[in-house]
Amino acid sequence: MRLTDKHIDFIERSLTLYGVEDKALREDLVDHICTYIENEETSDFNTLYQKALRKFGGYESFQNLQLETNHQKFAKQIITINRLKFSMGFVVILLLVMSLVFQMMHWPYANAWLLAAIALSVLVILPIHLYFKYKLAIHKFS
Amino acid sequence: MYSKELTKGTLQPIILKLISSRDKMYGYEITQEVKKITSGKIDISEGALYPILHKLEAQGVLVTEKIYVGKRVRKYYSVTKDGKQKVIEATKEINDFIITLQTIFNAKPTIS
Repeated sequence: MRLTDKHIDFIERSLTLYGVEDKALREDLVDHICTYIENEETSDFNTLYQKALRKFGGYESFQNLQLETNHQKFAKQIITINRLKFSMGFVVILLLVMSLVFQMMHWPYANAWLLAAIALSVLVILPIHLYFKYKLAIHKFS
Repeated sequence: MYSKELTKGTLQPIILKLISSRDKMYGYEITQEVKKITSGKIDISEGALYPILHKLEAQGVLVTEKIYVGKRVRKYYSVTKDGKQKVIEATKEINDFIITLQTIFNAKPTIS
C-alpha cells in the first residue's frame, strides 16, 4: 500500500497520543509502521494500521517503549550525577579539613570554611541527592 | 520459532553482529533480515528492538544517520569505530556460550 502524507501525520499523532513523547523514538516507530504497511498488498489503511499496532503488542507497549527510553536516557544522567556528587563531596571534605586546621592554628576564617562546607552540603549535595531519588522513582519499572 | 525467554539474552549480540556485517541498517530491515536468515526461527519484536538500538546508540556503539523518505525520517544505524571492538567481544562471548551449551546438551555418556 502506498502511504500519503496524511497517513504519516495520522500515525505520528496517534503515537504521540499513545505516550511516545520522545522525538527520536517516534521517528523510529513511524518509519517502522509505515514500512510495514507499505510492504502489505492490501490497501485498507485502518486494518493495516491496527494490524501493525497489534504486532507491536498494543497501545501499552508504546508507553513501555517510552519508559524504557527514558530509563536509558536517565542511565547517562546517573553517571553525571554521581560524578557531581563525588566532586562536591570531595570539596566539602577539603573545606572541613581546612576549617579544622585553621581552628587548631587559630588562623582567621576557620568558621568561614566550616560554613562553606555546610552550605555546600545543604544547598548543593542534598538537592542533587533528592533530585536523583525523584528521577529514580519516576523511572522505576514495575 | 524459539521462545522469547530463550532468545532474550542473545538479541543484542545478534543485532550488533547483523549491523556490523552491513554498511548501515534501519529498524524494520533488521527485524526482516533476522527472520530471513534464521528462517523465521528468531523473530525480534519491535518492542525489544528499539530499546536495544537506543541503548547501543547511547553507549556510543551505534551511530545514526537520518534520511528523509518522503515526509518521514528513516534512521540508519551503523557500528562506530569503538563499537567494532564491542562486536568482536560479543561474537567471542556468544561462540564461547554456544560451546558451553554444547558441553551440557550434547554431553557424551560416560561410564561411572
